[in-house]
Parts: sequence; C-alpha cells; structure tokens
Amino acid sequence: MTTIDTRDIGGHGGHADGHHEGSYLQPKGGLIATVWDWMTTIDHKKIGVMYLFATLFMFFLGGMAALAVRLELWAPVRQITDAAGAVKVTGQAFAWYDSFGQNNDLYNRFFTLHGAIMVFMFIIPSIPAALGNFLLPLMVGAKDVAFPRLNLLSWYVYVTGSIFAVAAIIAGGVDTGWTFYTPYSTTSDAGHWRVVFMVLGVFILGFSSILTGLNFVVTVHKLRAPGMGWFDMPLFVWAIYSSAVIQVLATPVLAITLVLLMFERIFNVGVFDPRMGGDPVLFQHFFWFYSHPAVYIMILPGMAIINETIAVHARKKIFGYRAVAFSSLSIAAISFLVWGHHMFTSQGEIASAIFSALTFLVAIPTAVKMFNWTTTLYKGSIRFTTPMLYSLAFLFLFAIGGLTGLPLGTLATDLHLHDSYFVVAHFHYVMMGGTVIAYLAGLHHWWPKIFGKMYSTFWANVGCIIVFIGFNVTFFTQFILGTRGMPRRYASYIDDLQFLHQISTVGSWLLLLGFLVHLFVFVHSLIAGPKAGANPWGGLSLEWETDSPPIEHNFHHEPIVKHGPYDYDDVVPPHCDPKDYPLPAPLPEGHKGH
Amino acid sequence: MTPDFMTPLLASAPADGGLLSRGGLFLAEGGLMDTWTRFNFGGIGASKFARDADHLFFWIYLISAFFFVLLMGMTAWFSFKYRWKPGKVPERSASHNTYLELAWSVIPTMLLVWMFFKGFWGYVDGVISPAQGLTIDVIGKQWSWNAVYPNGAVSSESTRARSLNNPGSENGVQDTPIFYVPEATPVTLRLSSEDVIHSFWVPDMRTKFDAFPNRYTSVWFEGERITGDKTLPPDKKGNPTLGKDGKPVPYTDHWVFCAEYCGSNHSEMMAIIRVVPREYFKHWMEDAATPKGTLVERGQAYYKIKGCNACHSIDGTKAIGPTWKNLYGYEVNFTDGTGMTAAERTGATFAEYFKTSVFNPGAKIVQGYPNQMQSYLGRLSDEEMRCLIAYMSSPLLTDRPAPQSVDDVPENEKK
Repeated sequence: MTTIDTRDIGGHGGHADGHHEGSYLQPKGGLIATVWDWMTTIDHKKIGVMYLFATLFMFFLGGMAALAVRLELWAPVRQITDAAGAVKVTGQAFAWYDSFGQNNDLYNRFFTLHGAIMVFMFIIPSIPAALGNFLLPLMVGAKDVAFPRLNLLSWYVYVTGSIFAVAAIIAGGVDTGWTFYTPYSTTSDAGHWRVVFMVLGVFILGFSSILTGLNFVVTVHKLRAPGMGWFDMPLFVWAIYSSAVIQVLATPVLAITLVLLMFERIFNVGVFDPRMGGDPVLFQHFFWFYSHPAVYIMILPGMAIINETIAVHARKKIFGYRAVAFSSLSIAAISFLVWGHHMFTSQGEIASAIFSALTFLVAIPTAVKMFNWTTTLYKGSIRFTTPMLYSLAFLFLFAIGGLTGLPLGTLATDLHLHDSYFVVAHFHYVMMGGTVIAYLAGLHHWWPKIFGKMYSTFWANVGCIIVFIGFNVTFFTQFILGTRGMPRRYASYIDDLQFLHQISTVGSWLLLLGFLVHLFVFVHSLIAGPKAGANPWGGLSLEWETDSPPIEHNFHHEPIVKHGPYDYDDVVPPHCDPKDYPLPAPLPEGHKGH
Repeated sequence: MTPDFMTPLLASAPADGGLLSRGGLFLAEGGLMDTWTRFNFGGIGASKFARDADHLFFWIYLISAFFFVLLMGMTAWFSFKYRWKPGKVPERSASHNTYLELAWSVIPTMLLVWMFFKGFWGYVDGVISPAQGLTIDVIGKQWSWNAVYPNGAVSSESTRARSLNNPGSENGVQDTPIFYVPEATPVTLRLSSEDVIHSFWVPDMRTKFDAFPNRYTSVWFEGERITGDKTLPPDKKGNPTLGKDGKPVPYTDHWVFCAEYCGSNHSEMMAIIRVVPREYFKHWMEDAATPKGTLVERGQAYYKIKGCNACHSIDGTKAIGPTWKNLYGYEVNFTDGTGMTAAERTGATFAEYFKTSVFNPGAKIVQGYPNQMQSYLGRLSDEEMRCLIAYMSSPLLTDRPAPQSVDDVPENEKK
C-alpha cells in the first residue's frame, strides 16, 4: 500500500538524542513476568488493550445469545396433534431444554442475557474504556491518564461485575429483560437470588464506568499538551469528554435504584412493589433517568470515532468544528431531560407532552452532526479504506436510526409503536448501526497504531460489506414487523409474521459470517500482518506522531502543539511522504484562511 | 406464488378507476399513502384515531425520506466525485459556513415543532376517552386477559387460532379469549392488573396503554363499521349463530397483544377484539352475564373466565401448574414430603384441598412444580368454586369421577 510508510523518520527529533525506548507491547522477561506485568500495569495503553479483549469477549457472548433469540423466532410456538393422537409442541428451537415443560423461559433468558451483556458489559465500556483509554492521553499529548491506578482498578471492577453477572446466568438464568422492571423483577423467581446477583453485577459495573469517566474528565482538563487549547483538541476527545461527564453524573442514579431494588428484594422494603405500598412506575423513572443518558454514553463515543475517521480518510477538516463540539455537549446536557419518553404509555398526558417536546430537542444537535459529516466530504480526497467504508456505513445506518426516532418521539404515532419491534429495530440501528459500526471503523483505523501491524484491507472490506448487508436484512425487516403488530420480547407470534421473521433470522447468520471474516482478518494480522508505519493513514492528531505501537511513555519528548488536528491543507502529516499527501497551493499573503 | 407478506399490498389495488379518480395520488385508495399504509401496517387503521395517526406517520415518513435521500445522495456524490487518485492535489474549501449551518439547524427545528404539536393533539385524542363511551373492565394477569362488561357479563369464548384469515390455524398453545364490542360505538377499556405490569395493545387501532397492579388506566377506541364478509361461526352444539333478523351475523376481529414483558408465557398473552353489530352485541351481553347450564357446564365456563386455563391444562399436558386431568380421585405427592391418597382426593377432603390451593397456593406444592401461583382470595365466590369442583370431579376431567347420578351409586342389599 502506498499509504504505509515504514521508514524510521527522525524528523521530529524522536531518536535524535539516541535514547531508545521499547514498544509498550514488548514482553517483560518470561511468560509469568509478562503476565504479572500486564495484571499490575498502570499503563493506559495496556489497560485499553485489556478492555478491548474483555469487551470483545462480551460482544461474542451477547452475540451468541442474539443468534439464539433469532433461531427461536424462526418458527412460532404451536401445539399440534400428530397422526397417533399425541399432543406435541413445535417451533421451540430449544425443546431439549426442559424447564417445567415451558421452554419460553429459555428464550426469555436468552434475550435478557443478550440485552444485559450488550448494554452493561459491551457497549457502555467498549469505546470509551478500550479505544478511549488507549487514545485519549495520546491525543492530548499526555503520558497517561490523570489517575493511572484508578484506571487499573476500573478494569478489575469491570471484570468483577461481569463475573457476578455471568455467575447469575450460569446459576440458572435471569429472565427479567435488561430493564429489571418491577414488580416482575422483585416477585418472580421467589426465594432465589439470581436477580439479586445480576443486579449486584450491574451495580459493580456502574462503578467501573464512573471511575473511567472521572479519569477522562480530569485528564482532558489538566493534562493537555502545551499549546493545545480546548478548540485544538480532536473532536474524538470532545465527544469522549461529553460522554464521560454523563457517566459520572448519571451512573450513581442507577446505583441508587439498584440498591433500592435489592433492599426491596432482600428486606421487603416497599419502594416499587404495590403490594408493599410501592409504585412500579417510580422504578421506571429511576431506571430511565440513568438509562436514557446511558444511550448517549453509548452513541457519543461512536460519533467521536466518526469525527476522526471521516476527517482523516477524506483529508478534510470536519465542517463546522465548533458546531460539532458544542453539539456533543448539548446532546450530553439534553440527554438528562428526556427519560420520560420511555413511559409514553404509562404516565399522564402532561408529562408525556413535556418529554415529547424535550425529546425533539435532542434531534437538533444530532441532525447538525449528520449535515456536518456529510459536508466534510465535499472537496475532500476520499480513500476507501476499511475505516472509511465503515464510516459511510455508519452515516447510512445512523441516519435511518435517527430518523426512525421521529415517529417514536411523536406522541400520537408512538402509542402504536411503543414496545414493538419498531423500537427494537430503531435502537439496533442506533446502537449497533451507530456505535458498533463506529467501533469497527475505529478498530480498523487505530489497529495499526495499537498493535503495530497492518491487516488485509481487501478482506476487511469484504467483511464490512457482509456486515452492512446482514445488518440491514436483520433489522430493516423488524421495522415492518413492528408496524404490523409484533410486540417485543415474544417467543412466539401470529402466523402472518413468520416470513418477515425468517428473513430477519437469515440476516443474523450473515452478520455472523461478516464478524467471522473480521475475526480471521485480525488474527491473521496479529500473526502475519506486515509491520505498520507510524502514520499509515496520514493523520494529524498527536497519536500519529509517535511510533506504532507507541513507546511506553507515549512520546519521546513532550509534544508541543503547533497545528490543529485537521489542518490537512497546510501540514504534511508526520512520518509521511509529501508526495503521498500533496498540499493545495498556499493561500496568498494576508489571507486569513477559514 | 406471492410471499404472504406482500398480500396487504395486493389488496390495495383499487377495484375500479385509476389513482387520480379517487382523490389524488397521495390520499386516494390505492394511492401512495394508502399503499404505504397497507404495506407497513398490514392494513388500514380500524378507527378514526388509527387513520389519523397513520396519516401523521406518513408525513413524518415523507420528511424523513426527503432528508435521508438528501444526506445519502450528497454522501454518494461526494464520495464518488472527490475520491482519491494518485497524485491528485486536493482543492481548498471552506471548513464552516454560518448561514448554511444556521439553515440546517433552523429548518429541521421548525419541522420538529410541527411534529410535536401534531403528535400531542393526536395523543390527546388517542388517550383521553369520551365520557359517553361504553366502559368495559379489562384485567390482565400472568398470562391472560379477562373482560368484565357493565352488567357483569364475562367473555367465556376463546380460540386457539393464530391467524385471523385462516380458521385452520387453531394450534396455539393457549386459549385466546374473544371480547365482543359493538360496531361504531366509543368503547373505553378500563385496565388493571392482578400481578405485574402488562400492556394492552390493539395494533389495528394503533393504540396501547399499560395495565398496572396499583392504578387504573384506560385504552379507548371507536370500533369502525364491520369490514369483510365473515360471519359468526356456529355454536359448540353446531347450531348456526343468527341475529334477531334470522341472518348470519357479520363481524371483524382485531388482535390484542400484551406489550409489556410479564414472564414465561408473555407471548401467549393475547386476546381478540370482535366488533359485531350493535343489535347483536346487546343480545350477546345480556346472554353472557351469567353462564348457564349445569354446575359442570358452568365450571367449564369459569375455568376459562377465571383464567385457570393460563396455567392448568385439561388434557394431561404439563403446563406451568399441574394439569386438571385426573386430579380428582388420584394420589399426589407434595414438595414438603407429605401427600394425599386417592381416597383423600375425593369428596370433602378434595374440596378443602382445592380451596386451600386456590386461596393459599403456597401451602402445598405438587412435586415437580414451582411455587408460582397468586392467591385467588376474594376473587372466587363460593358459587364459582362449587362449579369448578363439580367440573373437576366430572367424567370430563377424571377417570374416577364422583357419582353424577343415583345410578352411579350401587344400591345396598335389602335387609
């Protein structure tokens, strides 16, 4: 590839003093010493990599549960009498699993597993804790995050919380859905502790999220390199910063809610259970007061990645930098005020009206971002690398995800769509089409930086196209299923809906295929990939100044920021050949530029 | 063969005339909106609110489609035109433009304000029921719906059909109750729940609301004129169901689904709303107020009315609770190590066992089953219990029935 530059350029003074530092990936002695080094590391890069593998493993678990859900929905559950006169139940993919003769329980556990793992153990920590941890200090030119030990603690807290939650699953499964709505979550499964363990797991995970968020906020405020003002930060940092603020402010509410839930469950304190004088709608308010902002904890990091990948691979400054930066902050602020739109069918009309109006407010900064990203492509120099393909896929899928939010925010149309497959399709277009696709864009974009190896762009692009097609086949059908009357969390359905369900299930297999292609591409790259240059894409933000993989202390010298992160028109990217990245003619004297 | 998901589309072909003869490309039958609605929703809305909501949805859809095409068109065009070529020197271009950015903030904002108000006004129509509507109590429990009419009538009719268009699809795993409502009359369903949160969704009416254990909520609709040519099937004894005028009775069915996850059989918690002519409805409601017939026949009706059928089968299949087949007159073991002999499971000891199990379900748990049943204390009268016990001890449900007539009891030898 012409864009890879493997030469060792000392132009930035990196090696001029003859001081050589090893890559952070370099083993520290034998196997045990190396493992011990990783387990006790306070290097943000290693913690980021550990988060990367931990969250990808959770993505695998949650994905398996999703495949099981789609498999069950291949056929509706029916009771037929065969020729011999025996009554039997058909359409249960997991009929071999006998739980009191009612196998919907297993389906209910699968979708709970899928939702809880994907939300609490994958999407929320994925981008901030994996890529954010690795990149944020590099991008602001720091040696590490502000509190490296807290950072390591957050990883252990994350693992502990995940083990608790997974233990609850192995102990027999939880079937409350990831929302834990009362009174079902407090009255079902009486005498057992599964829900308590699961909730405890999520409670612990919340602390990991708070610690990470806190670390990022302080790092951005205090550790920026000399010369880097707030508006010289890459937009990735702005969006990660915004979501970190939500993590710090909203997660405690979830913790309080879950503590109340445990008190009710263990000590019979009536908070949510009407039989003890509580109110189940109160739980919904508490739960969504966290979980709606959490949706933005999930999507803002996705937007963060797209800000970088589009800029670098189109070689353009993001159009309207300040508007994009402020739209991240305003999305973070408004996200705290819209939780009631999860309760349009359970609260009074006035509350619904207020929450509907506030919900539309959040559409405005989101629309602004979409227009800014699209306009950034104008007069660019667009290379169809894997990160760029994924960014274009993101624009397509996120546009659908965002626009289908409109009939859900509109009260009159939401009465029909609420809790239907339309909602399922909508949030998968946002969470998966948005965040997961952006995560893949980011992973392919920074893979050479993280591991110092390139991957096969051809096969990665093939994987991207399969994922894109599989995603649409799986989830676009679900919009129509929803409007035609398919409720959420159903193990069975009426005859008329079977064809659409089968299309959706086939789509889930395509998605599996696409992800397997990526898995092979990544494994191949780690084993046999060519060495990546320090700056294979010609990026201008600080992480591209250092080596690939970065040295342990990130930079050979403290970087001093002299140009913006997107000044592609005026600066030849570090470690790059000017022939590969020709600059437009310089502006005439006295012209102030844009 | 046409895939069945396309049939709603084919049904939209106008019977006569072109698109324009029916009042325009958008709004006409067979026009763009009509076709879109039939494809998306599988049919035209069955109430005025439903059609208004679909109309609003259609405009939101058009606006969304416009912006989607605009954004994706720009993306595709720029990606093609400004693709990288070796040696090509990029042009400089502006990196922000205040007027442009204001335009794409303000124009969407204005559209969103319009959407909000249209949605709010429609919602008010949709959730606030008219004071003069016929009020029917609908009670949700895990996992069935029950309806109680103003005169105390309850609906005991049910079906296992899983397609409204195919009477041969009667193979659902659980009975689905049928609720009769009058044609062209505002009907308010007063919702409540006996256990957890449920949600009453009528997709054809495009409305739903949650049912709570601690408060009343409501869903209302005005059942439209009956469409289609279906008429009521004959009753269980094979007699044709006729109106007062002696003609078959037309009806239209609408699915009801529970839309709030409520546990194991959430996906079986369905019902059917059957719109019938007002005259027939009046007659039906009077008739349904009291189950008629023998104790056993009434017990059979209460088995469904009281929702026992949600957890207890009558054919021996294992459901959430023990089957009622051969419960009477057969021995049983409980989880606490105790049990009852076959003789104890007859007469007064059986009746006492049944009463305890209904009012205090946790007292004795049959081996192999979870302790999951809610107490029916205050929800089952003595009369209803008597009917249920008669049903359970009848030959319909047990191979060792209680004597049904004097002939079943042998005469003692004369002394």
